[in-house]
Amino acid sequence: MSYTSIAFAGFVLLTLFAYYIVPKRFGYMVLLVFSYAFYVITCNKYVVYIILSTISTYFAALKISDIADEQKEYLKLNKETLTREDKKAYKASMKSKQRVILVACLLLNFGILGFLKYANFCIANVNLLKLTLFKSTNFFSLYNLVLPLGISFYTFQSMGYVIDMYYGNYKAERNFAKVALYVSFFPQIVQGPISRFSDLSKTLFDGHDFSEKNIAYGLYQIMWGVFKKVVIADRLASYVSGAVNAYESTRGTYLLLAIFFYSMQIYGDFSGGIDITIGVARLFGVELTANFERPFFSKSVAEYWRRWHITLGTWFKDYIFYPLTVSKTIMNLGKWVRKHVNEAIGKRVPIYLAMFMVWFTTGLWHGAEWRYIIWGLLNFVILTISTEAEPLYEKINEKLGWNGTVLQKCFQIFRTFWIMSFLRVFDLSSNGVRQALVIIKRSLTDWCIPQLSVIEELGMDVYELRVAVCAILFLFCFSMAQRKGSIRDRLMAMKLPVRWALTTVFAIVIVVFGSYGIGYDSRAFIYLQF
Amino acid sequence: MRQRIIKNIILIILVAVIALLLDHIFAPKYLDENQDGRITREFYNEKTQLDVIGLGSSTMYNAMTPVYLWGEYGFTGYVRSNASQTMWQSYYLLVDALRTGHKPSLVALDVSFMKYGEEFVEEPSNRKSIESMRDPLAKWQAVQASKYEEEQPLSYFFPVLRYHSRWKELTGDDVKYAFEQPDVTYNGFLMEFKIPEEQTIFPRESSEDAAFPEKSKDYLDRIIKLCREKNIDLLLMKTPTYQNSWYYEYDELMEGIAEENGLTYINFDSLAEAMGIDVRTDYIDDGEHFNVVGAEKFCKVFGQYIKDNYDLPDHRTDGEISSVWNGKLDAYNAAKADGMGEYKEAIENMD
Repeated sequence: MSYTSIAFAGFVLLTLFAYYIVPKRFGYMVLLVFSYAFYVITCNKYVVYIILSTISTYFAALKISDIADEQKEYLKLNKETLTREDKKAYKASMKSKQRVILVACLLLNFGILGFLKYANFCIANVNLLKLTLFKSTNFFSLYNLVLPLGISFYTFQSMGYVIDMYYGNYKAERNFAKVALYVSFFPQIVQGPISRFSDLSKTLFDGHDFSEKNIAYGLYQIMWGVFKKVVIADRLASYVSGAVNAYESTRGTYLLLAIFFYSMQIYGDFSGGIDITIGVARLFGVELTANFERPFFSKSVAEYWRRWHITLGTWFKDYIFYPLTVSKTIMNLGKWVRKHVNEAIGKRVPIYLAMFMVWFTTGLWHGAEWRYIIWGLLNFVILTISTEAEPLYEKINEKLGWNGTVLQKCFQIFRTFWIMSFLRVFDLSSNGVRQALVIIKRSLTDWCIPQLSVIEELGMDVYELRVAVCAILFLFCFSMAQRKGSIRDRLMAMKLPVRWALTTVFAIVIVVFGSYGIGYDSRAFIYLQF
Repeated sequence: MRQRIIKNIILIILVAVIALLLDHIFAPKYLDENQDGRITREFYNEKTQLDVIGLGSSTMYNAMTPVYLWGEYGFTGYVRSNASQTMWQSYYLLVDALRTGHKPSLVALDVSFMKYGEEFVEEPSNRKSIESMRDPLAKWQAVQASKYEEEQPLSYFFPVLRYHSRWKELTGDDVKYAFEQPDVTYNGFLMEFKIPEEQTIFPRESSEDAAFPEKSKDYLDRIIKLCREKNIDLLLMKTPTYQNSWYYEYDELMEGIAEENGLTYINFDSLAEAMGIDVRTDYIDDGEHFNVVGAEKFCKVFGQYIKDNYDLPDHRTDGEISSVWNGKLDAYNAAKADGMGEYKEAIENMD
């Protein structure tokens, strides 16, 4: 059930109706029932995986939290009698118990995710290795695996909750239904955002009264998301795939246009989907964390990653980067390097090692293919170079004398946008790394004066191109306007008829210029054989 | 608060009006080409009670000419047929006709499409047959019976969702004819003047495996029951064609169904010679679809058969009906006279 389908709209309407007619205290139960209904409708028997994740998350978090409570209680009761060493030993033993539960839970959940998502990738690589090293064609056979809907998202979200419990960030939720809803809340199950329990629980579990404001805000955000998805992303998709599929015979200029369009497409698709998610949640009075903050206005790659897929970035930062940086092994390694190699390098080792792990796993998270891993590692390389070359940049900027000028900002934005766009070619190239390299090479070297007829051949006629350009310009202007504050707040402050008029015009634009449905081809309507 | 609610309601109505306007502007008008797309919608322009309703596929809308039948025999009729119209679409079009106020004495059902079952689904024909239906329930059921996976049922009720991509080709005519369009069919009959430049006729064949799909049989059964319930005579028929794929065994199967239900089945193929049909000059193709000359030859016999076997009134003495239908006849004759030049030229240029 696609988020832009009429079936989904009907499902949301039905859920809304049920949500607002039951007493507020049962609101979360309604959301739970409909979330599971959504999951079952969408992926049938694979619901078993999310149930398993929910049960393990609930009990692991509860147990870890109980151990923390028990420890607190014990230390309080024996405050006078225990020595410092006793307390330390006791705490260590309790932490160890918690760690056993945490590790078991992580192994189970990441094990399921890892097996379903990466087993065939590993087998394929082992087979390749056997062929390359031993000329053996006695291959291991691949599994017939299906990836359940949203497993990467709900696994990360639920494991974040258990890890938070281990660090004692907050107490476990004792109501099983609430934990189940946190894991399965239907608007965010497909593509996130990866919400923290502490954030989501503020509005997810307490019922809400029907509010015109929530409905209006939700609808505006949904409309904006649908615009980005169906008017921009889905429109650009045909040209992008046309150019990329014919990458070996397509001139560089057209590939460059495809790279640009793909950036717009992926942004429209992903951030549009997230807008729909956030908007739908808002209809129920539930506030989700923002996942994008005008990322194409970033002035550096590091800033870009703070503004693109924000919740995934913070997840990796909080649950992989920081724990790794302060882990004993990596700290000791850093110390060793400082002592035996170089002070400056020693300081950097823990950070760069952790960063390497973060980007390796980020790449892997995006897909079980080498091109994703390479994409992740290239991000790591660029971020490392950016950090190390910072003093050099400073010198160059000083020489140019443009520090803080609009020109410098524009240059930085332009540079960041194209770096990220070229990196994204790895994501775009379904035939693998070689295809990505050829596309990048051609797009930088094989330039020509673009012809509309070629663009049309690659999948976008002149009308579609005009709409695409207008829509991208509108997106740009809208993003500029967002810098001065929320568009929705400004819209809500307008008089009712003006608001309705603007909304209606926008809806007409989506309905008419959206790239959806079968598509009318008058030739198909010409009388055929009967 | 009350004022705000009233304001919101007014604005919702305004938005609905705009949505309706969009639906009408974007929907194809079928005025110049694909005119079979107009047959379903023009049905509702018919204000007189109909004596005969013809159902079937394209062979029927090229064969049954109600205005000619009026001129010759004095009964009123309409052809509710579309290209590739399946049996279930014929059933729901009949339901729709009855629910929108018609009570025909006779339904003439062309069974050419009995041989096509669920596997035969074409979006264009679904659209042409169903999209303009007026009775919402019959329409919804027709959509459910006909649609294939990619089709969005709601778009049959809000056509802009289906035709939005026509923004590239909208013309002034789409606005001009958004709500009112001139009739281009003659009570569902599509007047053709062409003859094929070349023609290949395949001899009719036999097939031991000939069988009708369950879905077609089911909907034929529903049509039979509905006609029985409403006390409407039902004629099962097939227009004269030279289709090799209408196996001899299909006739046997149809005769069996007719006998079982106390009905008549006529394959007018057997009367083609008596009608004086010339396959070379009376069809627009390889012997499947009549031009107007062939259609009139067919209707001469078809109308006589109806007159002889069913108790239909001759309305030509009824002043009110006559004034309307004679007007239709004049328009029909004028159009025919206009087009016959093309036909004669084609005959002259024939090899």
